[in-house]
Amino acid sequence: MTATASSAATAGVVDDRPYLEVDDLRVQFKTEDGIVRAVDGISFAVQRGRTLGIVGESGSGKSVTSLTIMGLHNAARTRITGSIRLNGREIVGLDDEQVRKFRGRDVAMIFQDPLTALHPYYTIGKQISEAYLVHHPGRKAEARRRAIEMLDRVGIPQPKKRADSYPHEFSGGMRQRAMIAMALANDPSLLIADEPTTALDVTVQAQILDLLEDLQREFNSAIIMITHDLGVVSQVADEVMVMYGGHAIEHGAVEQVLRAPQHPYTWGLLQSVPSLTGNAEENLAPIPGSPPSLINLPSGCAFHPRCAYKMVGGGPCDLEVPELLPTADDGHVVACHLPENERRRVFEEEIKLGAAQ
Amino acid sequence: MARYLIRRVLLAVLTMFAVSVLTFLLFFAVPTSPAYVMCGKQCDAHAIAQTEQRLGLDKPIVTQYGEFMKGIVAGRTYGTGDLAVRCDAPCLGFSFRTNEPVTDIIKRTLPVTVSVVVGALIIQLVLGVGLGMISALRRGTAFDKAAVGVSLVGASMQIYFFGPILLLVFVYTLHWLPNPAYTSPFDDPVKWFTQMILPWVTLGFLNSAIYARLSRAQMLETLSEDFVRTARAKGLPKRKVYARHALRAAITPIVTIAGLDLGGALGGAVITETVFGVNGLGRTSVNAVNDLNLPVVMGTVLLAAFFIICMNIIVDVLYSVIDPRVRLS
Repeated sequence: MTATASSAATAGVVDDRPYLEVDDLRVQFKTEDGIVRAVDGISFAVQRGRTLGIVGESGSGKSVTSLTIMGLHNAARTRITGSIRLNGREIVGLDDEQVRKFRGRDVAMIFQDPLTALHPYYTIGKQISEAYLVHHPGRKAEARRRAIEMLDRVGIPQPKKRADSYPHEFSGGMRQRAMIAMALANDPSLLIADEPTTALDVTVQAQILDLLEDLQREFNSAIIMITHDLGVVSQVADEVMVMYGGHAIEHGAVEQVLRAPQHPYTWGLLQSVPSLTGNAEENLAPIPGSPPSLINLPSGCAFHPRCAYKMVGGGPCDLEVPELLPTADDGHVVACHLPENERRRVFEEEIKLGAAQ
Repeated sequence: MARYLIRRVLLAVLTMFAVSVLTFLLFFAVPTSPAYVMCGKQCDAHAIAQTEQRLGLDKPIVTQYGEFMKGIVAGRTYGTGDLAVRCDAPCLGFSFRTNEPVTDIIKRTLPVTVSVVVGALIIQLVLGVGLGMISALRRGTAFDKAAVGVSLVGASMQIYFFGPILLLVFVYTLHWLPNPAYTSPFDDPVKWFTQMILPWVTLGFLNSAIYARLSRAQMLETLSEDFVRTARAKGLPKRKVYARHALRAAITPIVTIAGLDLGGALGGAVITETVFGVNGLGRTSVNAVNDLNLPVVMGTVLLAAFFIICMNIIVDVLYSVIDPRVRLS
C-alpha cells in the first residue's frame, strides 16, 4: 500500500540501497540429536532510518538470525550459508577477527534482560566506555566523556554520578537505558534489539520504545526489533516479518501484516493478544499445540499440525513446503497453500471480529 | 563496613567461647582421669591425687574453666612449691606428658603446617585453576579431555598412596631430594625448600584436581552468561572477553573455597604430615588424641577453630571487595 516494493523478499525498498541485506540465510547447529535447522532460508533487508520487526514464538529462529548478523555463533559448531551484506559488504565467511571489527561499531545489539546482560562487577560508566574504547583505542578520557554523554542522552539523570554506579544499583528501566547507551556509544548504523522490553514493566516499556524511536530519528540507524509482542511491533515497526520454525511465513508493511494478515499463524498470534475490552476467557484464543522441533520439522508446511485451516489428506499442506509468494497487496508476501481469496475471506469473517485490533 | 567487622569479630569471639567450652568438657567426658593417664606406671592413689591437685582437677569445673581462660590472658602457674610449673601467657595448658607448655608445642609445630599448607595451596591454585580455566576455554578438545582425565585420577587418588610413591622414586631410588623434614626457611631457605617439595607436590597436586574440576565448571557456566555475550557483542577481542569479563566472575567462588580450605588446612594437614613424617599441628594433635594428652588436644582444637573463623571473616570481606553487589551489613 504505502511501500513501493521492488521485489517480493525485500519489501519496502525505496531508491537508496538497504544498509543490511540478508539473502537466503541458513543457520544450522550440529547437536548430538541431529542437525538443528534454526534458520532455513530467510531473506530481508533494512534501510537506515527504518525498523523491521521480526515476530515469532520462542524457537522460531528470530534470535538466531540476530546473533548470526552479529557473528556471535561458535563457528566450530554452526554452519551458516547464504549472504549477509552490511552496507554492501559480505560478512558470511569472514573470519572472526574481521567480523569483530563490525561488532559494536557498525552493528550493535540490545539484549532482553539488562540485568544479566551487564557485567555485575563493573560500573555502568566503565562498561559503556569500554564499548567505545574497543573501537577507539587509547582514548580513555574521551571514552569516559562519551559514556556520560550517552547516559545523559538516554535520559539518565545525573549521568556523571550514575556512571559510577553498578548495574544492580539501577532500576530495570534505567538498566535498559544504560544498555541502549552502550549499544549507541559508537553510533552504529544498525541496531538489533532482541526483545528489549520483555523484562520491563509496561509503563517503562513504552518509555523505552519512545526512546528508541527518538534515537533512531537522531542517529538515522536501521533497527531490527525482535519480539513476540505484536503491540511493540505495531508501535515501532515499519515492516514486519513473521517467523515460524526457521522460515519466514509472512512479510510486509506493518499495516499489511497486522491489519490484513493472511497466514493462519499470524491470525493465531493476533488472537492470542489480550485486549482490554474483551472477555479474556472467550476472546483469548491460544494457538493449540507447541512450537515444532527444529531437528525434525513437520513435513510440508511446518505449521500444518497446528493449523485449523489445513488441507490434508491429498492436500498440499502436509506434503509441500509453501513458498513465500506475493499477494495482491504490493510488498505483502505469504507462505500458505490456501488460495488468497479464501485467506481474505476467513480473516474478514472469522478472525477480524475476535481480534484485539 | 566497620560495624560489620565489629559484629563479625564479636560473633567470632562467641564462637570461640563455645568451642572452648565444648573442648573443655572433653576433660570430663573421657572415661579416665587425665591425672591417671599422666602419672604413668607407678601410680597410687596418692600420686593421682597429687597430680589432680597440681592440674587443678580437684576444683569445680567452672573454676577450672575460669583458670584456663585466665591462663590464656595472663599466664598461670601449675602446682605449688617445688613442683610449681610456670606457663606464660598465652597459656593454652600444660602438657605434663612431654613436660612443656602447649603454647611451646604449637610454636614448634605451627610453622611446619603453615609451610606445608601454603606451599600446597599455591600449587593447587596455579595448577588447578590454570588447568581448569584453559580446559574450559578449549572445551571438547584433546587438552580438555586430558585435563579432565588427569583431574579425575588426581581426585580419586589418596595422599597415603601418592606420597609414598613419590618418596620411593625421588628420595630412595633417584636420590634427587632429601627426606622430607622441616628446617626453618629463615635458617636455610634452600634446605627448607628441597625438604618441602614432596609434601607440597603431593598435597598440591591432589587438591589441584578438585580445583581444576571446580574452576572448569565455573568458567563454563560463566562463559554462557549473558554478560559474556554482551562483551563479545561490543567487539572486544577474545582475550579481553575471557580475562576481563569471564575470568573475573568465575574466580570469585574459587577465592571463597580456597580461603575456607586454607582455614581448615592450617589446623593441620594430618595425612600429609604423617606420610612424610613432619611434625606439624595435625600430626601432633592426632598423637595427642591417641595419648589422651588432653591439654594438647584442647590447644590444637582451639587453634584450628580460630583459623577457620578468621578465614571465614577474611573471605567474606574479600568477597565484598570482588563483588560490588555484596554489601557488608
